[in-house]
Amino acid sequence: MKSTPYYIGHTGSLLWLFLFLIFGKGIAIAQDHRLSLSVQDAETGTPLGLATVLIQPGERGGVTRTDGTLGVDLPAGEYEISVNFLGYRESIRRVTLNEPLSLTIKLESTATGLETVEVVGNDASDLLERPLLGVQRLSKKQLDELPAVLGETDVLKGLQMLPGVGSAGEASNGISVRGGSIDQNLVLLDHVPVFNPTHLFGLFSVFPPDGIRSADLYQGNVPARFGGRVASVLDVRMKSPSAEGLELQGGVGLISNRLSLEAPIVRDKLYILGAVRLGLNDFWFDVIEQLKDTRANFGDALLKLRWQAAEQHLFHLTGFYSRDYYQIDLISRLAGFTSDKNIYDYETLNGSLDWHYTLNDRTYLQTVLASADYTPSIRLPETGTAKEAVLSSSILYHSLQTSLHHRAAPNLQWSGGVQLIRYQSRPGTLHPGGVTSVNAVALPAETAYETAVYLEGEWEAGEHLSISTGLRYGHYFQMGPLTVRTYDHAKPLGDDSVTGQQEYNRGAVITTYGGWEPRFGLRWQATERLTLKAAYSANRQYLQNIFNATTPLPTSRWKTADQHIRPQSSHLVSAGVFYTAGSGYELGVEAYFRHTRDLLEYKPGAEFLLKKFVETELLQGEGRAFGLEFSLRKTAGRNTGWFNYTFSRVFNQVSGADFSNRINQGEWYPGNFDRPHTLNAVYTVAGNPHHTLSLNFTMSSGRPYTIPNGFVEIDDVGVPVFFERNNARIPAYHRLDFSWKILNPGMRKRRWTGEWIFTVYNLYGRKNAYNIYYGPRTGGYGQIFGNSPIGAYRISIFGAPIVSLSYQFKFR
Amino acid sequence: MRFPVVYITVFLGTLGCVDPYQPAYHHLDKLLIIQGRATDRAGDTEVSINESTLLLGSYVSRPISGAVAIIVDDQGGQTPLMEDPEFPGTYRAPEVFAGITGRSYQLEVTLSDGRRYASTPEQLPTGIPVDSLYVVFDPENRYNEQREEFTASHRILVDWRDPRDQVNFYQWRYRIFREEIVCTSCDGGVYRDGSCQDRDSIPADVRYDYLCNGPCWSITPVNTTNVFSDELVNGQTVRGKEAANILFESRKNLLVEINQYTITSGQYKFNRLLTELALESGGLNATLPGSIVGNISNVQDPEEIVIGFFGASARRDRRIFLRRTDTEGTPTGEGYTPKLEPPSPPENIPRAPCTESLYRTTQKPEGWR
Repeated sequence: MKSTPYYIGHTGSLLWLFLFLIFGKGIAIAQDHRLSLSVQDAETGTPLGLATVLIQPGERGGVTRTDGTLGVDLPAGEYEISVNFLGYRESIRRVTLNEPLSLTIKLESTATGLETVEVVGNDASDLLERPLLGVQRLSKKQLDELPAVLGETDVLKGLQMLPGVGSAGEASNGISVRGGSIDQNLVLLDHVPVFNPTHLFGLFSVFPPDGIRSADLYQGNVPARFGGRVASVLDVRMKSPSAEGLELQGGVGLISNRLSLEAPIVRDKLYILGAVRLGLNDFWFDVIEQLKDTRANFGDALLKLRWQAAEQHLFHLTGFYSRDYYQIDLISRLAGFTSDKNIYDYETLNGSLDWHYTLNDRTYLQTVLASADYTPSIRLPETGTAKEAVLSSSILYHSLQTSLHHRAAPNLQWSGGVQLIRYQSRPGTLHPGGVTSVNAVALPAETAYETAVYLEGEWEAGEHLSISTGLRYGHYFQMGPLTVRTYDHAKPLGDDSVTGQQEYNRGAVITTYGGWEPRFGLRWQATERLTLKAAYSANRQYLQNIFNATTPLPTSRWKTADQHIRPQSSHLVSAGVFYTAGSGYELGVEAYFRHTRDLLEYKPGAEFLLKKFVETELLQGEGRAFGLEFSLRKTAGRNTGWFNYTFSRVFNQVSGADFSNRINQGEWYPGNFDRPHTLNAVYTVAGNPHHTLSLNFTMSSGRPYTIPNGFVEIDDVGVPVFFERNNARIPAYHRLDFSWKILNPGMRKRRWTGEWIFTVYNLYGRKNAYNIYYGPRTGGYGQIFGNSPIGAYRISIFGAPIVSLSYQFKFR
Repeated sequence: MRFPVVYITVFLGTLGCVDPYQPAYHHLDKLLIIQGRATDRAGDTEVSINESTLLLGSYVSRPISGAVAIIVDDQGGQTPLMEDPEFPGTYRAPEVFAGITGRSYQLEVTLSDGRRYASTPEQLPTGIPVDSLYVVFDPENRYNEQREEFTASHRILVDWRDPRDQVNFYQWRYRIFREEIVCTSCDGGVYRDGSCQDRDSIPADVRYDYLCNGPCWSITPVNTTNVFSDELVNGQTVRGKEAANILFESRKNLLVEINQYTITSGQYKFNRLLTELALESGGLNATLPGSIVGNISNVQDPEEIVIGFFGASARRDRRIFLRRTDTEGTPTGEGYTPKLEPPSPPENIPRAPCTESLYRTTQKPEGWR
């Protein structure tokens, strides 16, 4: 297979443009000299294809062909060549070019030498997709180095160490980006949205750890090809399989066991990546009295095929399946029957087909067909019978996206495309399953389409200025069949303001929304070391997760925008200064402000389960988020790490017509993820080639919660009364984690390499509060509760050091 | 209807923990609480008016006396309520007042300082009787944190037929009848001439009990926010709904009267919210606390916060005799032995009368065995 080199950088002068175009055609110019590079594995001599080469000055280079070679014609002079490749130490060579030169660069595997390697895309097409600004990338390597709770490598937990990313705590079913709510982030795995990104109610994320190539979080300038969420896009990509032989990876841990395989099926044509993780280790529950009848199993599996059908046609087919199954002994009553077991069963089945059609050296067409199907259900066996009622819902997503990418000049690339999305939500079904004392319920499905056209471009306007811009126009249609209520709009929406109902047939358009979403970013290279960046991004969100709690449950309902629930929209401006100091230090300061309209809030006591009309339970308001993010990174050397501090605030306002349609009297109040101060620090020491020690410290202001404005006794029950929202803060959160990785103790390059990972999560055992709530007093705490007729309780998760040992291996 | 979300806490029980925490308040002074209902049962219509206020740094509920409270029906009929002299802040309709199904009722209140409040009208629903009533003894009903053990309860369950042609909401309250032998008690004194009289010779912490001068039953009303919606069972016979839960604290027999109310949708939502705020705000994914919004507002200043609901409801009763003498297990209470005044001479110790009231009767209750 021959692959075309993609050039990753160039200065903006016409001369360079000219040179570049000529190189693109493969014709050399007489006064230049040919530099022929061959990149190989230092030990085996295996050619390394798709290694990244950067030649300075001139920001020339590209990626090597599959035979490990790259040829570049350069004017005579002195050059520094740096070569990076996944799993190898970076190599930097200085050369003087005054005649044609052939150079073999041997890369040392990190299996024998531990040096941090920044993983960048190993699929050349991604280099074109990657925008210049506004993205934070977490590489597989960085992920692996972070100490993980119970030994599980985790994308969502790792992202929380980056500035601007937070969560509700350990059991948070997702992340909060710059103070936004969890459903304001679009989480994609190989182009497909993941509606329930965690296992075990938020303790671990679902992404198979071994197959991940990178996780890009767009929280500033979101590329125009993405749309549909107002806070961020998390684009998780799995490796594109390209192994020359069979490669196995796996691990055995306390919570789960995993195995992944990468292999060629037909060399140079068809490759496979498969990854399976199973969490079936719930047998240890049997020894704990309280959990002896509890079952908790989860699993995920991913299959990815890479098929180079012809030189121009590259296909990727990804399938992803995730399932959680929990059984808990808990007496619950649903309508007329009692169940003493609750079974929770959540299932995700996603798939995507990505066709990459290279038209010429500079142009390719990408078409992606994506499908997501998420079905959570709760099964309730009737006590004393063999019958079982099932509560379920689902969200189906289908998308067809095609885009043309073109590098018009060495310093200009653009792409444009269209996307059609179909959302189908089945908000709730109750199957009695033979239980006679409950009626069947099937809420009507909601269908909606989102169409979008977009254009985006990256232009290096000069030696100093780069511009990354995009424009997306989205139009949304909510479709029949559906029965829609009409309301007297002089009153707030409520059951008592209903004026009638209107029936819409299949295919009828119920309501539409639409609008422009401009995206703009620029980078000004003030000096060789100093860069200034600025970005603006507008986003609209037509699908939201509704949950009257801090974080959604896997069963929380997905709701498409409709006649009464307007889509959310946001505008974000951000600007930053970045400085690259010597010896691998990078400094950055970034400020942002985001304004959100029509964010969702909930009326007191709002409930959505099996509710036909939910608009009467919802409120919409405005949000403001702003912050300042400082970061310091050290990416080279034996000791690496980062430190960041974020000051950020988020405030919401819901000012309805009357008391019950307002929150906090219509005043601004702190949002659920308002944590003014956050500090993260990661420090990794590679003491010698066998050992890596990592420390990870995080500290942040506690998130807001609501304390009562008093209490009343009604019907012999002491009831806390609340008229404000988020008027207090839970205590500050801080935690130190430690990990010790023992790598390839024999230090010999073998086909089988194993490593032991010892982690301690929450090293000093702080009982961080996850939530504080008010409830009836339980006896024995008179000193703490004082004369309050109501007690207060703090929930903490992992309030003690959590020690774990896991083993992982690679075979190639 | 809400499905319990506490399971996450149960599930993560070993990974997490729940600790008591000092309760903090952001007190708002002078909150008015108006609570009441008009029912179709004579003698059951009442309203209570209280104000929560800060007193010496503590939050107390102060009854509001001297208000004028009137129930207005949809035909313009007005029923003034009278303040109960024994229970300030409680206003009762005349004994003969009984609401009528299908008619609407609203409450109007004028406080002595001239502030005027009104509820929105509520239509009195149809009463739905209990078809059967039975007792299930649960030896491990609740976990008592203080005793660190499960305690036993008698659960009283009801079955009834829900009408198909209407949306129904239910609420249960109950009254417990106990046979009493002690009719009054005096601290630091003795009972003479119908009242307790201080005696220097008796320390203040010594209490003497005085026996009743005839048969006497106490009546303990238990008000609960236990509500139910027929949303998923419309038209079905609903079986086994718990209407009362009586702690096995003694072996004395009881008579339990279940009051099954049919309530309005507004009252249901209000009670659900109370239950949620009072009992269900825990757990990892707890509902966000919300304001208690009722149906009562200040006529002159709609912005004033008023807590409470005035509802219209129909009530149907069923009684069951709870024989606890043979119940297996040990009751949680040791049983109270009356401490009688020392006999010197015995014939001088008077007996106390069992004064007829809402909370006491000399008449053997119907159903007592």
